[in-house]
Amino acid sequence: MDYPVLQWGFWGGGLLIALVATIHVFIAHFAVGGGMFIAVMETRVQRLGLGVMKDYLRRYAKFFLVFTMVVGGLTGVGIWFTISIGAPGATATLIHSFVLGWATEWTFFLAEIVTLITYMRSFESERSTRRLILAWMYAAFAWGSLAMVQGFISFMLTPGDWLTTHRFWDGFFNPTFWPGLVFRTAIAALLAGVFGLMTAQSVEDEKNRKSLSRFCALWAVLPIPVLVASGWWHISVLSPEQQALALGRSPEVAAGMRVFWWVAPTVLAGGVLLAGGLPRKAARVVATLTLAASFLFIGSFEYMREAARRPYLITGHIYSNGIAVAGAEKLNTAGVLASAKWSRNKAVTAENRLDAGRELFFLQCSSCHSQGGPMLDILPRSAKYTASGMESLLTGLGKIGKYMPPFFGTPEEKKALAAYLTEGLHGVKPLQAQGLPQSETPVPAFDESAPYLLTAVADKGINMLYDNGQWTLNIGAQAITAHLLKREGVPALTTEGVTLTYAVEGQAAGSFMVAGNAFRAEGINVSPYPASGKDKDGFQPYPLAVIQATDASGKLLAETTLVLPVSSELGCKNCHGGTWTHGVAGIAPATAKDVLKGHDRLSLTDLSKKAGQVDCRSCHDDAAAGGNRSLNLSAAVHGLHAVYLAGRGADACDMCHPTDPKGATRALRDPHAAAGLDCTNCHGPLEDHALGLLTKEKEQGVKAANALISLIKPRESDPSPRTPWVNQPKCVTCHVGYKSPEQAQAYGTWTSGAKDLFKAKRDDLDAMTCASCHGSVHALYPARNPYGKDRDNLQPLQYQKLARTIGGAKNCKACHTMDMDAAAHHPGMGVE
Amino acid sequence: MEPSAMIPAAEAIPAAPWLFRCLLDVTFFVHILFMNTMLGLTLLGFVRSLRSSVAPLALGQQAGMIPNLTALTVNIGVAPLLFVQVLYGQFLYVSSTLMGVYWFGVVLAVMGAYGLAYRQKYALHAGNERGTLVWGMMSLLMLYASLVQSHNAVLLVRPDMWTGYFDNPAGTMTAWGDATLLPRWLHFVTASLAIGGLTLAMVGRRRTRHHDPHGEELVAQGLAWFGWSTLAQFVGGVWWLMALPRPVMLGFMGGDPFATGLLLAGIAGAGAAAAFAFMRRLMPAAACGVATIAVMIAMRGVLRQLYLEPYFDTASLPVRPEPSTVAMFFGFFAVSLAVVWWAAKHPVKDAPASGVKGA
Repeated sequence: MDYPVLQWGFWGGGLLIALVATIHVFIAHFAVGGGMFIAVMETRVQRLGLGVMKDYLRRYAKFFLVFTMVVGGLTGVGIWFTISIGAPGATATLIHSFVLGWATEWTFFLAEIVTLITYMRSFESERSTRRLILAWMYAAFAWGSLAMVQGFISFMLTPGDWLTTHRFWDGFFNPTFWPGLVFRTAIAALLAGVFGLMTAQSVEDEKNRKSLSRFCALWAVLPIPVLVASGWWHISVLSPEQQALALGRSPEVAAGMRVFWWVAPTVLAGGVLLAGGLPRKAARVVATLTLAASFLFIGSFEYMREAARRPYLITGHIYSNGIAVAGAEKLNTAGVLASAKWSRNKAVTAENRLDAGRELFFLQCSSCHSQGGPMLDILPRSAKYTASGMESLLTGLGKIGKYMPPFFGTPEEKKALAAYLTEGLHGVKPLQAQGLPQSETPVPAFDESAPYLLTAVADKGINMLYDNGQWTLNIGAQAITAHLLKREGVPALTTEGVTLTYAVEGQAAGSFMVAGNAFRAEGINVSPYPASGKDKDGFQPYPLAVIQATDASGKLLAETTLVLPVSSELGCKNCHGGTWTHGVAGIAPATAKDVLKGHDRLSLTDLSKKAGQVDCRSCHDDAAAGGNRSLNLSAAVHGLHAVYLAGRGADACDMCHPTDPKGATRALRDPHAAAGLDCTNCHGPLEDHALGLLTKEKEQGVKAANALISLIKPRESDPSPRTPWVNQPKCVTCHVGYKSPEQAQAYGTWTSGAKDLFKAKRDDLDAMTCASCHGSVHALYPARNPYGKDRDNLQPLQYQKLARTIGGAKNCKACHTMDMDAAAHHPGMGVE
Repeated sequence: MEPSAMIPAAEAIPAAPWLFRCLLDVTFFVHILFMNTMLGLTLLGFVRSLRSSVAPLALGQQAGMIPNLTALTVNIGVAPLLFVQVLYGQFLYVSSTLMGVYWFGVVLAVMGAYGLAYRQKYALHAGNERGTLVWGMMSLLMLYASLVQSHNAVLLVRPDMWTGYFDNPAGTMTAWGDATLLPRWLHFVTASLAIGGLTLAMVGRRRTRHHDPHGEELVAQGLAWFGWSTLAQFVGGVWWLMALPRPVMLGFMGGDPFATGLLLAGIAGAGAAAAFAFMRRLMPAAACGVATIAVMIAMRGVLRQLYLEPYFDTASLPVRPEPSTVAMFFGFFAVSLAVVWWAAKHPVKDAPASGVKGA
């Protein structure tokens, strides 16, 4: 936050550091290993009087000098140049904490240069003690350099007690110092051997060449067991989070581990083959391949070490983007822009929204992400998100996946960054409310003298459908409960000798079953895409169904119409990409695939590669008994998404459910919405909602709940355990005594079971269900349907010409054929 | 935006600031000596290669010195780069970032020059090539590196120029807007020419000692370069002085006794060095030249201090003492110096020359 950030696009994301460091790391290890190799070879040459080998050694050393000095030395200095402009904050800590360690390393570097130059100038005589001493001194100083630098590099990964003491030695002799030093020494020897194998092939004499190849092969092969042992030692001292990253268990870094497991045996095989004495041509090819493999070997090790350090530059002290851990939380209130010394915009305004977002990108993201470059290019990574989706991703950063730092900043800054990453980079415009086609639905006829009154109510006032794609939630089917009343002073619920049928406009048709004194039709598959009729080719989330009651002779006793809500406006695409299949709704195959890929990434499954449809409930069964199993679907979906959608209130619900007031379904249609209430008034904010589901799972012994519970902060209430679909908010929590509410928070008091649900619960007479008179949940009368204001109110309009609760507002005679003066169904009916 | 609001916070250091200041000035002095020699020999190599159709005297030897000089310049440059970060890191990181593209270019330029230097060394080993093109390329690369270093040194002390970042956040900011930049850079380049000449003269002296009849000719050539370049330093120096912001300039003109004293000592040293050069007295000229550089290095530190006075004083740096690391550094420094001394004490002769003049 203290330093300017280079606003590079292609070169962003630390490309320069990566390039320079990769080259330098390889050469630096080669310099150390080569030093040891030269010293040992020099000893052998002088002891055994190997004249030919002296010439070989001189050639080796000459190349070694030029290569390690010109490229190695300059890239070493280059690292300083690049980190000081790429990560100045962390560089400042590294320098100030270890300056005299670095200075000591410099003295080794000085001695290295002088001894190597002098060594190269002392090849006149066959034997030379001075040359031998110089070779060993060079080896010692080069290894000393490695040991010093290892202290600083390993400090960045495992700072140990330094985090509290800030003392040199606490940081230097940190937990991974020794295992890393052994590992690097072995890798240096291996590189020297592999390089020796390359150069050995230039020796003309076959006997000498093969003898030298065997010697070099030993250098290439013998370090491998040491590498395996020290590698294991290294990993064993890491924290569990670091181990997961280092071992490639995190999907972001799995590639490094894969490379590691491929190249290690390749190096081994190359060494063994060359030790066996291959013909010269073949030996050159094998040696070259072995050298390439060894490059990848060290590259993969460094990659995993860097990966294990994520999301920090210095673990626990400074994040990858240069934000100091100590002051990070403060940024959430003080603001990143206001706190950064090098920001042009100090606060987000409506005018500077995108420019502020751009600045935030460079302050928080550009240290790892390029724009159009090879380093974690942000363009493809951000392309699939809407601004809201991106905002969610930013909220969840560093929580589920530990690879990236959390987003820090105010909510406005988060929105600005999300806007820049979507609108700014991809031109994705925020969703604007569109006008929806309006249609007048004829109210079914009803004569005051009619002998019967038929109520029919859909189970679900909001119904989410995605059943025909790559996966299914299996929740899209509708059900209807119907009551046929014989109208009289004391109406009678009639089922005997009556047949009830339903016919969805242009869609399914079928019959009801008798269920006690009511009728039930279940498993009705409806679609928001009408196959015929005036809405054909459009989107109609409220298809009409006509219900008819006939007697045994086929005579029509009663008829009514209701909507059977169904919407494919599931907002997965906000975060998972893709487009709507039907303009305003419908999960596209690309969206569905991305959902599966996300599942595969987080849960290490391979669902996205499977043929056929994935039934989510085959693992995430809402009705499963307790025990250590997968989370039930509601807990899993709400739990995971609550991490990303925290702090968003009802907006969080709208991200996935078809309740967005600007969407094509606008499923909250009842007076609660009109009164300004939203989902959270009854269900709680998403965090509390999810915690209710997760804590219930935890109580039932599902261990998978713990990880998510630890990531979600309760927002308004302590978690109140609940079973999905069974434990729902109760109306009487607010409507105490069926009166107008004095408060509007229903979270935490749940229906006790299936019969207690609004759609099934009976009145005090055990006659009508609540929904029969009040309408469906989320579409209580008088509802306001976005496709025609009375589309949801057809029955009250049919029976009492008033869009209110059936029988309410003193309309008792709709059923009773006369006015009543007793609130027999429940208190508070307005007739007392 | 207020410049002082843009200066990053300073971090604690493990020993007293004066210790790092001493280490900075001493190591920078050695670095500058090597750098001047490297750059001077390269520039003179280019100029000398243009002068005749055959390779001039000792051009191959001159080329042969440059790779090792580059290695030592780079190596010894690491130390002052380290120590300047300890004292002025919050300024240096900013100035380096503002011109990040050019700053990183220094690494590539020096690497290129270094590689070419090896090529030149081996190409000119036989002594019958002039290598003008390579000399020219090396010169350009090194001049680029020195120019960028001058830019950085200026930007470091000019927080008032830092707001330029908001118009150019891509790391291609320059300091051309500062009046001192050009004289400052030219001052270093002419110093390099002087030291390059001095080194040539030394080579000539050594050749004379080894009974080379052309040795004296080389001494004369070298001292002429040294003398005239040193005189040119006066012009460049005055230009630089006059271009300084008034309060800083006045500091060197009596306002700050130490700064003024250093300036006078520098002038005296340079004058003496030039005089000895024209008198063909090599060793006194060399001694005065080196001493003058030492004075100039100290003066450069004072100049930086005067520039930054409104913003920062190194004495205010928080110190968290770690004496054991001080002991470690000096212990290993002594070991390394002993090794360097031992290696230099028993020089092994170069491979026998081919016998061709100029090798």
